[in-house]
Amino acid sequence: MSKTNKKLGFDLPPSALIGESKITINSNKEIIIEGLRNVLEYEQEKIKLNLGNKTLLILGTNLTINSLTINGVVITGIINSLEF
Amino acid sequence: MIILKSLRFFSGFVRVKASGVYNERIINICFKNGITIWSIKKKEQDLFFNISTKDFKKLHILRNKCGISIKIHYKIGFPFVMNKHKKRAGLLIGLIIFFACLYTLSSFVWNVKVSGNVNITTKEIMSAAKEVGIYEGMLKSKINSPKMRNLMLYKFDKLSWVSFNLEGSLLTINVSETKPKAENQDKTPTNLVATKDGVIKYLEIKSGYSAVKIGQAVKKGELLVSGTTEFKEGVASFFRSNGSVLAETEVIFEDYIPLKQEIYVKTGKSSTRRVLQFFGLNIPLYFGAVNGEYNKQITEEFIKTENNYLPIKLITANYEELKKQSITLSLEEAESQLKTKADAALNTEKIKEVLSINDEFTVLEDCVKIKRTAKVLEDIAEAKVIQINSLSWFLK
Repeated sequence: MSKTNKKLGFDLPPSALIGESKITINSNKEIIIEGLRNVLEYEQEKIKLNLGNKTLLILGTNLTINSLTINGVVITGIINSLEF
Repeated sequence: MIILKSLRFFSGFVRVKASGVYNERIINICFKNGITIWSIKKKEQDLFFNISTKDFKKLHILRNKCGISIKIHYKIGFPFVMNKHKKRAGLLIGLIIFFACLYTLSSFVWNVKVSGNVNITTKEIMSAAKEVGIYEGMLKSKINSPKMRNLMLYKFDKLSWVSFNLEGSLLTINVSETKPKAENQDKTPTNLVATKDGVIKYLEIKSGYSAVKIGQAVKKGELLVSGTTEFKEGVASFFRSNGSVLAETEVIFEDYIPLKQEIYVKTGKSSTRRVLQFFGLNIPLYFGAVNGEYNKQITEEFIKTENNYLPIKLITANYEELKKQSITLSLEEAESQLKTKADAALNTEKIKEVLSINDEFTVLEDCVKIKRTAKVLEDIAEAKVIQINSLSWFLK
C-alpha cells in the first residue's frame, strides 16, 4: 500500500494504482504478469523480469513465454519459486 | 482460444529464429513497440517465437538496432497455403463450387418432422402441410409462418394450434390437437323410443319419465322414456331424456357360403424392389417389372447420418408371389365359417346378452345357407327429438 493511498484514506488494491504490477498465479503451471517493463533474462529454468521498482525472478522447469503483449506476459511451465 | 488460433491461422504468421548474444533484447524490442509475440521458447542459445506476418516486417527494421539476426524458421497460415497453390485454377474453381453448393443446399428444407400429434397421424398432417405449401425440398425463404399457420388451421380443423420451427435444414411442425366435444353438451329435448319389437326386461333411466314397465311388450317406434314434464300451473318443460332400455328381442341372420372357392396362397417366392426418392424424384434401383399376382408391402425410411436425416428416402417394396387355388369346402368347414360370421353379426354394442340360438342350415347344389334365429337382450332405446311445434304446423 503506497503512502499516497494511505494518506488519502482510500482502500484501493495496489494493482489499481499506476506503476504497480499485478501477478496472478494459476496453480504452479501458469503465471500472468501485468505491469512489465522488460525481460532481463530468459532461460528454460529461469526468467528474470523487470517490474519497474523491483525485479521478479521465476525459477522452474520448461518455462515458456506463452504470449507477450503490451498489456502483459503469460508464462507457462512448472513454476518452483518466485523471488523479488 | 480457438477463435484466436483460427484468426491467427487465417491471417498467417511465421515462426522466427533469433540468434545472437543476449537475444532477450528482441523480446524487449517487441514489447516496447507493441508487437505481439507468442510461444516464445529458448533452445540452447537460439530464441524461437511466433509473430504475425505484418509485425515481422516491422521487426525486421527494428532489429537492426540490436544486431541480432532473425530468420524465418517456417510459415504457417492460410495466405501461405493459398500462395503455394495460386497457379492451380482448379483448386479455386473447386472452392467456389463447394461454397456455392453449400449455400444452395442450405437454402432448402431437407426434412419435415411433425411433433405433438397423438390421434392424428403424421401422414395426415404432412398432406395438410403440403396443401399449404410446406414440403421437403421447398425453399426456406418461402416459409411464411403466420400465413401458412392460419391457412393450415383453417383447412385442417382437427388442429387447434400450429407452429413451424426451422433448425438448419430441418423444419419441425409443432401441433396441438382439438379436444373432442363432450357428448352431453347437446341439450335438445328428446324422448327415447323403441327401435324394435320386444319385451322389456330391464330399465335404467338417467333422466326422463318411464312410459313402460318391466315385462311389457313394446312395438317399434313406441315411446319408452318421456322427456316432457307437466306442472300443475299448466306449464310444461322439455329436456333431454337419457338411459338404456333392455328388451328381449329376436334377431334373424341369414347368409350363405359357396362350397367351391378360389383363394390366393403364398408360393414362398418373394422379390424386393428399391427406389430412392430425392425431393419427390424417384430413382429406381432395379430392372424389369413384377408380373402376376403379388402381395405388396411398402416400407419407407430416410437415410440418416449419425445425427441428422438426409432428404433421401429409401422406399422398399416387398412382393410376395401369390397363386390362385380352387378349393372345395366340406360341409363342416362351411358350417363353421357361417357360424363364425353369424357370431360376428351378434357381437354388436347394442346386444348385451345372447339368450338362445337356433341355427338352420340348408345345403344347396353349390352353397350352404344359414338362418340363425337368436333371442337376445338388446338395448332398444333410441333418442328422438321432441317436435314442440309439430302440432301447430300440422293444424295450419
